[in-house]
Amino acid sequence: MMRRYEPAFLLVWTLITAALSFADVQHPIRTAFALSFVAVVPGLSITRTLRFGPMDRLLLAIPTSLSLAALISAVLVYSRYPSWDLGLSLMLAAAIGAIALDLAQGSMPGHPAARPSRTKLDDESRQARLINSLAEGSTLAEAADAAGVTTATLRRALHKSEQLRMAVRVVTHGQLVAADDATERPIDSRGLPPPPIST
Amino acid sequence: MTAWLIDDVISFSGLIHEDVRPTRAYVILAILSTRRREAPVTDRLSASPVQGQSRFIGRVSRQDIVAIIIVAVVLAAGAGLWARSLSGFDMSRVNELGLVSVAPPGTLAGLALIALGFVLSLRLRTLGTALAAASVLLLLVAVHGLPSIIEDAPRQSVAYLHAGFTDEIERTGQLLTNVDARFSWPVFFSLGALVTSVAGIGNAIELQAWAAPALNIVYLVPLYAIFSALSLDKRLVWTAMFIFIATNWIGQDYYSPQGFNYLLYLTILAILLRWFRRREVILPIRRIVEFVERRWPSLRVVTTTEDGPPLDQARLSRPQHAALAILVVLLMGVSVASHQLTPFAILASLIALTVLRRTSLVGLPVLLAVLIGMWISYMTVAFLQGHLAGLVADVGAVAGSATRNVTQRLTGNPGHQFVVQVRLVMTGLLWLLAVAGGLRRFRHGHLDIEAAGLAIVPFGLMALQAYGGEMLLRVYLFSLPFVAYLTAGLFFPVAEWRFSSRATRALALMVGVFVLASMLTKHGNEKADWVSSAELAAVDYLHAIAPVGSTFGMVNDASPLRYQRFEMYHYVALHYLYLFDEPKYVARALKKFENCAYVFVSRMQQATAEMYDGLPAGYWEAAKERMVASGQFSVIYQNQDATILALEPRDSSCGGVAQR
Repeated sequence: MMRRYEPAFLLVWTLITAALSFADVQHPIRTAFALSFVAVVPGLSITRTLRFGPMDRLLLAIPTSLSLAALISAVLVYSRYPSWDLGLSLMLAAAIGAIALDLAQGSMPGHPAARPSRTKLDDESRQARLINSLAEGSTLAEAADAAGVTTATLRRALHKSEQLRMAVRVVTHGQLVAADDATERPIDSRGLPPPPIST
Repeated sequence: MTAWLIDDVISFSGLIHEDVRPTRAYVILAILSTRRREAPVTDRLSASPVQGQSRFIGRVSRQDIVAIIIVAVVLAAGAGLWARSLSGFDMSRVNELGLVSVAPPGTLAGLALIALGFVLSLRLRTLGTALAAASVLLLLVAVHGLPSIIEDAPRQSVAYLHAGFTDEIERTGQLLTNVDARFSWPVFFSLGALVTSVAGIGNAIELQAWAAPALNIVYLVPLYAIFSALSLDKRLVWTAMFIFIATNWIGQDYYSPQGFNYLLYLTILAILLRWFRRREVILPIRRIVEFVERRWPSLRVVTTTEDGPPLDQARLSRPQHAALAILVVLLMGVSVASHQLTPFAILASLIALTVLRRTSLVGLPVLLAVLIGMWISYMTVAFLQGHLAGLVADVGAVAGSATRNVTQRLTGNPGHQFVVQVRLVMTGLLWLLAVAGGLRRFRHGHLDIEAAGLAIVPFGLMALQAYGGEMLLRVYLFSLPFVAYLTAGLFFPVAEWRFSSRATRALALMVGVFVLASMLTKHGNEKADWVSSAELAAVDYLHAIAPVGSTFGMVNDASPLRYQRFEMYHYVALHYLYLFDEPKYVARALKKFENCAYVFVSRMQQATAEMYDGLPAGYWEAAKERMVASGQFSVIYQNQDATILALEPRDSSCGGVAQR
């Protein structure tokens, strides 16, 4: 949930910081937004673009943000043009640019970074119905019906979740076939990476 | 049979609630969801179920719930006692022993209970990690956040000076490289200027108010990554974190380049240990391992990477790998441009990891050495002029460095000497325990090559510089994460090690001693570090009346005088001149700039002179009276903690009215 709305959250955070700082609002809320923005937001945005996991981003976000801010401030000082508004603008540009790149990547079909949207198959009981159905010898389309989702949703979920892919592979003894309307084709031919299950 | 087995698996794993009817699907999902959490290499020495990693997974029994409640109550009681005691601190009565001299009994009892709660959390079957993490955070606030809560102004005079540098850069954008060497490594101050301006803060000193707890919280993230990269055992990881927080008394966690650079240091090591590790073991170490295995055939020695978590680099894509490498280079660059010492500590660590063949980024030490060389050669010329001979003379003078770092620190009045002695004892104890922990883990088949290497290499810095008698402190700080890890290893020599009652008592005793001693080791200088609001009021008064170009005389450096408009005044270090019954020398020193001149005397300076230089208490009042009696000075401002004397005669532009 949080991950899905994170770009919007970061964007709002960025815009509020920009508004408070450029309007020179003298209030503790500006301090809170600005400090947290400089310390966290550009790093969070950039690491999101690079598809790091949540814990990894926690590790990388603050050093990335502060190093970026340090670099920008040093360039301003050494270029003898110490405009802190320009420094803030560059930080904002870095954050917004990373958020935009992230959104663009996510909407590109086939891009390795593309994230399928959240599906109904995130529900554990639906997953259970799906796998029970497959274990009884159903095709993917029948199993999707049993789980109460469409075949497209199922395919997205399989693309998204390595865990679900492995579970499906286990119950079908590695002989998974996808029933796509009338034609049955191996799921791997549809662009899914081979499941890395070990024996 | 199969159904029975499945039920048994479900029951054993405790992953699924009893009310849910077990199905094949649930079992498969449950098993798959736990696959990642299983240790890839189980310990060869014990056949007992894994306690270290998977002990936090399991069905919650009534006994578990009672245990969880007990630990939570102990922690809550500790936090409550500590919080309740805060109102009992009276900073005006603090003496040379620091905060412990004014700490109500509830503070110490609260700290002891937090330590006890932490140790008990390690015995829990469920929620152990959460409660251990809560204990670490509570300890962090209780130890490192204490001054921020009980004191009415940001502490430490050096932080005020750094705020002054930041203020100057923010207003003028100029680097005063001929005024102070730190302007040759200005990136931290320019960062502070950017942050201060963006946040709309009047002065960077406001960042100092909560700098210590904030920095320590930020340190926890890379520390967790480092320890998790070295061990799968979460008990070991959290124990190392707890020890780190309890023993980080060096006091570099303030508004300072070194506080910021320590984050860079930890992050670089965390990235290298987490994503750029290699499994190779260099030949001499392989020979040692083979010898040990021949000598004790029942023992099979494993190195940290073999027995640790899987190497994460395989999971990363090429862009991620490239981004991490670029980030490491960026962090190194920022460090080189913002602090004199930390890049050398990073360099030493990188060399250690490269020589031990524990990182795949083998070119990093060369790159960092080039960056350091370039920065020093081109960007610090103003500093090097006149200092080069002194810097070079210190290289290799290990004995002299040791003397300045140990013997010369054992000075000052008896109270302060006692605090220094406690610090030395605690440091020695921690290092001894770390050696014992490393040996114990080795005896049980673990060879912590990285931790040992990274704990030892900072000592090489002693050969470079005495660093004004502070090098040993910095060495302690740079090696602390790994020393804490090895010390924790004393109690968890292998991942499946049973945490016996005896071990529990021993660990409780050890962390209890470190935690309680932190009131002396961490806060033992508080009498000299504390800045009162009355002192700040005096400083603000002086800045308000003194015209630009005035001269400020300070009996020593311990004052908040320079936190704003730093470059607009002249500062004369009087070095206790007037204490020698010669106000005329003071007057002569101040007349040098032929402008309005003032002498600023405050409680903080007095405490510093008494604690570190052994000046007798009460000397100050007499000295001030002598100065006034000489007719060359008059008191223009006075409150309970500070006095401002103006040099006479003065014209009307100098401001202030002489008080009787």
